[in-house]
Amino acid sequence: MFISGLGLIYSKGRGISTLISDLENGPSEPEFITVSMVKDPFPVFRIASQCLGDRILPRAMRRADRFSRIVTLAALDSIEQSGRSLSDPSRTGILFATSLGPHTTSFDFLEEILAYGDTGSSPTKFTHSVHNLAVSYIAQALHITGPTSTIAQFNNSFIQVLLLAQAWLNNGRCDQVLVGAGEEFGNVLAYILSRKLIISRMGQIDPFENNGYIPGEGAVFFLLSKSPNTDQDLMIDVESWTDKTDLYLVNAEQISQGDRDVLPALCYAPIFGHTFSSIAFHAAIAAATIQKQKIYQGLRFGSPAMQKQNIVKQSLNAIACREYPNHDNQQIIVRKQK
Amino acid sequence: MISTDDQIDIYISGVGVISAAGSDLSSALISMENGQRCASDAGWLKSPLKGPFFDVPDINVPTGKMRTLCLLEKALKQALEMAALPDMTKLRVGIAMGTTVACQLNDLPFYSDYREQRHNDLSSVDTFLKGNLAEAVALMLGTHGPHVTVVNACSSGADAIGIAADWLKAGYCDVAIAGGADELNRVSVSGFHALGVSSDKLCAPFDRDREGLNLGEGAGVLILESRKRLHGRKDKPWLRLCGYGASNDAYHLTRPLPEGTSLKRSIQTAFDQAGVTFNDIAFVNAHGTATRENDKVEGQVLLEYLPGVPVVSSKAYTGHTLGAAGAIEAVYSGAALLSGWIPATTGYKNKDEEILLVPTQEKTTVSKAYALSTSIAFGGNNAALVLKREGD
Repeated sequence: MFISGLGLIYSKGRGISTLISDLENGPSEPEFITVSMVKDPFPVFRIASQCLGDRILPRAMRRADRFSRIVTLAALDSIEQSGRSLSDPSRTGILFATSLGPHTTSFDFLEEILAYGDTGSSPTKFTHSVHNLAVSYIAQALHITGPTSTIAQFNNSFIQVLLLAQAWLNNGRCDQVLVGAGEEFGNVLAYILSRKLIISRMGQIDPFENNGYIPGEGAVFFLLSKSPNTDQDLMIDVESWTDKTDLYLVNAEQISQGDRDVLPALCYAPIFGHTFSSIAFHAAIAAATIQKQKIYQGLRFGSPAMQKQNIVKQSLNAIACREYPNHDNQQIIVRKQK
Repeated sequence: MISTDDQIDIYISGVGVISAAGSDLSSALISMENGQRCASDAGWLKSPLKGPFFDVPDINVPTGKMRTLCLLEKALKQALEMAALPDMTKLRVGIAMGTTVACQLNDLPFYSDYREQRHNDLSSVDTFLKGNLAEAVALMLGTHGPHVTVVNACSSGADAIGIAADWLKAGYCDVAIAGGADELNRVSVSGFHALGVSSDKLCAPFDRDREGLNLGEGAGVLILESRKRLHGRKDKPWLRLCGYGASNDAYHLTRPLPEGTSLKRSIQTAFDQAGVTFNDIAFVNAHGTATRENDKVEGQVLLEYLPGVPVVSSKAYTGHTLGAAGAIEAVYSGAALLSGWIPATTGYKNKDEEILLVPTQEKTTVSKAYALSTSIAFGGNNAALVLKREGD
């Protein structure tokens, strides 16, 4: 599959140029917030509210929830980055992966039931607690009337939507597919995470040292097609694990001990925080790395093997993105055209 | 145009279903044949809203397990027994399951503790994390292959089946287990009440005086395989899944596009993939929720697009089972093709002059080989499945 456009939003802003600038500058500090029933200040890589304001969104999104705003902005940016409008929205599909969907709105709706009773809850809150509403906003904003699907699961969800996009492009269901992943942050989630995981209270992620979790939020979208628009378009595909790639981007906290010690691997969680959609962010970084022909290798990014090898390539042609645990030993490969 | 390749036609080797109409397919068919509607006030739900609801009251839900997953396991067991698959750990098994409720941590006691600043043991969070349908089924069966939990609101079950068929055609798996499951839940009951689309009377799909839907719960599962895989194990494959179409209205979050343009395109895509026209269709199992908007748009589309084709809404017997609906209705559609009849759309009494579509009013004989099942969802999703009785 060929990447025609790439859009993303995360705590530092929007777009591939923001990401590249961030990669150049290295990790920055997360925000520390107060969370009910959590003793210490809680670190998070959260998107600033002004980045999600009404003025930058389509008019029809004024009542949209935070999750839909995050997801839609990334999708719109992928079209803008492609430099062209969608050729045929009826032949365009949308596939979106998430783990928890619009959980802040879901909890807001529970709040409504407890505060006002089962018969006094808000229809708008209920509507926005439905997981596929974000994709509905994208479809409305871009007039996309092709097939759309939202997938919600905790493991390998972005790999699954990429696989399905491949099937849709190959079987003729679509000419183009917007494929994305995204997560939002919320205070109830912070409370759960504080009870379930070790949070990095110092506000620093050292991925291969497992020094703690800092949640992030954001979304990534790729506009994919079966044929390239230019010979510079990068490719993205799902394939079985292979050791033929020079560089791996991984979610380091879950990596197996064997791979940790031998794989020339990087993890950019210090840039965007931890989410279930990390692999989608890594795929975006893989694209940026190949485009810029530069490996962003801060000390806090690399595996022991990577730090020893200090790879400097003449030419970066392909980067693999792996997610652990992995249901089928599949990875995403981002590469130049052959 | 969707590619069609006879070498990879998709056969349905097993089905399982549970709903208020019956705890398996044969009991559901008896209920439907007799026009029996098993709705209740679902007192176990502890909601001040009293339905009617199409619940499955005798389902056993152990502590630590999501009700939706328990419903799914019942249907899954039936489907696997019917398919009699060999050792699945040696196959690439795709798992696509639709849901709405199981993807949300809709646990009022947990949230109540949180807002009251009481620490909770988080057991409901653990239950939720273990309750993701596709992940839970893959873990339970020890299978490897593509797996997705589809959350397209009320078309989730139909879309999951279509996605599984696309996987098989793409060669991603040898066998696919597809369907959907959803539980009746106090949170969704409150939400549909808030939207003003649920009725306090028994639902009346396509009726002039319809007042809304009745929520239900249940699960439907289909085992999908290629003919090559079935060879030697089942001499006479009895049903095929031969078309899937999907589209988005790109119009409104909850209301269907008034002209039904995208729904028509879903149907046409499914017809094209199946290589059929409306003349080949024995009947339509419509989404038919009994809400004012859904039935108006869907009824008009079906009347225009499939003139003279009998239409039934099995939601008259199951209620609206949300993410399970498309899968449950696919199972009942397949059974109707095999048994040669569709039930009355019980509850329907008077023609709506805005729609003009008259659904089945009595048990109706059907003889053609193909059936269409439609699903329409929040978010603008539309899905259409075409099934075929083999041997014609």
